[in-house]
This record gives sequence, C-alpha cells and structure tokens, in this order.
Amino acid sequence: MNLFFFLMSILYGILKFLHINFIPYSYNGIPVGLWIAYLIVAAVEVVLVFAIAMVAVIIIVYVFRKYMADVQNRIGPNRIGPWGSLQLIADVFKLLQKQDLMPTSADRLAFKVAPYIIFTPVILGFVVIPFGNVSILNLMVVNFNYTILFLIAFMTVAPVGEIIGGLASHNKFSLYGAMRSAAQDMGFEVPMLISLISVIILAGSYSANDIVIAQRVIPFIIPEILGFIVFFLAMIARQSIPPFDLPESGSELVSGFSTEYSGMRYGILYMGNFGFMALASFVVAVIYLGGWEGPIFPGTVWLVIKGAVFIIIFLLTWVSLGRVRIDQLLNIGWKYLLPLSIINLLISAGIALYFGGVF
Amino acid sequence: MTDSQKTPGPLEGIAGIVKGMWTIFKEGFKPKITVQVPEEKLEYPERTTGRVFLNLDTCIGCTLCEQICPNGTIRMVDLHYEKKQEFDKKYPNKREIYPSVDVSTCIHCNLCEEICPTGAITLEAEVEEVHFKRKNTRYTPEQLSRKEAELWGEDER
Repeated sequence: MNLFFFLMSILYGILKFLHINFIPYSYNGIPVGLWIAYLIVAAVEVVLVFAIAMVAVIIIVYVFRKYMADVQNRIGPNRIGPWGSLQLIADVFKLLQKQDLMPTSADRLAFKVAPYIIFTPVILGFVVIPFGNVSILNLMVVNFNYTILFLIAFMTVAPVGEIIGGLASHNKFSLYGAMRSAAQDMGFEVPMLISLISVIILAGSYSANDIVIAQRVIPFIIPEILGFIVFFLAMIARQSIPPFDLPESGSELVSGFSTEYSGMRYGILYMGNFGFMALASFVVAVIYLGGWEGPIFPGTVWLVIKGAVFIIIFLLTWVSLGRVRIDQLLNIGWKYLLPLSIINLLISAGIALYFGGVF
Repeated sequence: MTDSQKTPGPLEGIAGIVKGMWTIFKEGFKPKITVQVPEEKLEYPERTTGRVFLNLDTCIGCTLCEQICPNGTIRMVDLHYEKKQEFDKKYPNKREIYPSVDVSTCIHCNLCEEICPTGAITLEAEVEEVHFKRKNTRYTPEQLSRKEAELWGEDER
C-alpha cells in the first residue's frame, strides 16, 4: 500500500508541476489545463479512498468473524477462498441476488436514502486520515487546516441516517431503535467533542497532520488519559457495538433501525458499520497514539499497527461484554463522561498554559 | 446486608469488566473443538453404541431382539442365506429369519446387544448413516453385516 501511495504522490507531484510550470492558468480569460489535471487527480483519489475503505472493511469483517470464532473455540469461515478469506465477497453476491423488499407503508424515498447517508460519511472520513509521509509529501488525500472539524462533522452525519431509516421503516421496533440512537449519540457526542477540543488545545492546530506531528515528543494518550477514555468509549458508542448496542439490540428490538432492511441495502448498512470501525480505529490512533509517527518502519505501517490494536480492542469488547440498560447508558454519557471530559479540558489547558510550546 | 449482596462501586465494576475481558481474551488461544467433518473425522471410543451390526454366521434367528426392541426398529425378515455345514451341526434349530433394522428410528439403547444369546448383534462405533430416501433406511441383514463405508454408493443412496 505504501508503494501505491508513493506512486500516487509522484503522479500528484507531476501534475502539480505541469500545472504550475507549463500549463497556463488561462488563455484569453478561459482557464485551461487546470481542470484536466485536477480531474485526473480527483478521479484517482476517489478510487483510492474507496479502495482503502473497502479493503479495510473486508479485512475487518474477516478478522471479526475469525476472532469471534476463536474466542468461542470454533474455526469460523473456512470454505471460500484461502482460510475463508473471500467469505464477505460471497456474502455480498448473495445479498445482491436478494429481492428488493420494502414495507408497504414505508416512506419510500427516505427508506432508500438512509443507507447511503450512513455509508457515505464513512468513506468521506477516510479522505482526511493522514496515512504517513514520504519525505516532504503528506500521504493524505486532501490536506487543509480544518481536517479534524471536517472529520467530526462527517462522523456526526451518520446518526441522522440511522434516525431517518428508523422513522421511514414505519415499524415500532425501528422507531424505538432510531430514538435510542438519537439519545445515545447526543449523550456521547458532547463529551467526545470536548475531549477533542483538549487535543486541539495541546496541538495548537485543527489539522490532523499537525496533531500527528505534535505527538513526536510524547503521544497525547499520556497527558490526556481521561480524554482518551472518554473518546474511546464515545467511539464504541458511536459504532453501536456492545456494550452500547442499544440502537440495534438484537434480542429486544430485533436489530432496531435496520429491522426492515434486507438485501443490498442491509449490506450497505453492514459495510458502513464495519467501515466506521476502521475509521474510528484510525482516528483514535491518529489523535491519541501518534498516527504514523514511529521508528524503523514507514509511517503507514505504524498507523496500521496502531489501528489494528484498537480494532482488536473493539472486537474484544464486542464479543465479551453485555449490553447496558438505556438509563445506565445515559448516565454514563451525561453523568460520568461529560465531567471527565471537562476535567480533561482543564488539565490540558493547564498543560498548554504551563509548558507553552512543548506540546 | 452481607458482603456478597453489596452493590459494587465504580472501580470494582471496572475491575470486573477488565477481568471478564481478560478471560475472553485468553479463550482465544485455546484449541478449537469443532471438526471439519467431511475432511477430518473424530475418533470414536470403542464402547460407542452406534449402528447395529449383525454377524450372520452366529445369528440363530431366536427373535429375542425383536421382542426386546422398545420401538419396533428391529423386525425379523426371511432371508435365504447359505449356511455352512458346521454351522448347521452347531445350531440345529436354525430358522431362516434374521433381524432387519431401521436406522432412522433406532435409539441406540443397546438392549438387543444385551439380550442376544449368541452375541451376533453388536452396536459399534459407526455413525454415518446417511440416506436420501426413506425406504433405504431399513437395512437388510446382509447390509447390517457390512461396514458403512462398503455400503456407500449402493441403491442410489
């Protein structure tokens, strides 16, 4: 993957070079050369981001199934492909063949749109993850000064899709799931954002790449252990995996907002869930564990290693913990995590005031 | 209120969660207990009471197994079987009837093996009785005397 990034960077650099040096900005007032270069680069970038997300989803679903089988002393998928690694692709083909079912009383447009509202922000989130750097080139698909704000904005769009899907299904259980999803996301996004603000205070920048560079001396997990706990729990809650899987609790709400979804729409919801798991692990690794910073190996390898640790922890919580009640969930969000994040904000503000430019 | 009834505090709760997760984590390194049945095979112990086997040479056709069978799985059938001369001398009262067994209703209770006076019926470690048609689940005495692997491919099963 690193090589691919390197080739991407070279292509990007060549096109930028051509654009700046040889292709005129405008000819008789009409911009020429500009659009074709950016069109090619944009097309490659779109394909690249989608490929990263899909590869991450395939790997995570495979690892999830195998790991869940491991802790239950089973073997897991082992029929399709070497060691069952192509099971997800077979599942996708199976889902594509299924009938496109829709409840008769459903809001048709909203019902159709909801999976894409959940899935698209996950793909867009991968745009601003800094995957490493080759000499002076940053391996980000786009790099601007407010990438963390962009990331958080897109992370908070996906719950809207869950609520739309639950309401549009015209089903009691889906409605309950949507309402729980709304309550859970409101309860956990405020502490998450406050703990993110303290990171931004320490790094002095909204850019994800600058946050990584700021952790060259010491990763932010050490001065901000409270914020890390808050952010990590919020990420688990945002993915709605156990112990915070109330929006889609299988045993009481028959999988909540996704009850009525079947076929490829359900497949898209499923891929969105696992894609968000990949995105969340990368984001936590970038913000609290120093992203691509590390000795010996290239940056991308370090980011993948750090992300894999968090994915294993996510999966471990998934397979080992039970579900909390809705009142316990709201208590955790509003009564414990919010004060913790505010304390963390004060601590990091004090650190930034005392040490100044060290961090 | 005793100690065991006390509500755990937040720290005890977190410790419990971590302990539980550690237990599950250790479980991931244990050996797998599932077996890929078509490719791998479990080794059954010798005392396994699987399919009924019949020794045609020692069976005397006394119908005790049919009488003891709790659900009518064993039925006696007529079978022309070439007897040896010594066999005729040994069991002069031999009737030409032998037990047949419907393997789909057999409950492997082992009563027929216990009642058999000559030890002709035995229940052995043979469990793979697979058939596509229900009529093929009733085994003739001749089929009962052979192993399951030898029977595969016979009469469209």
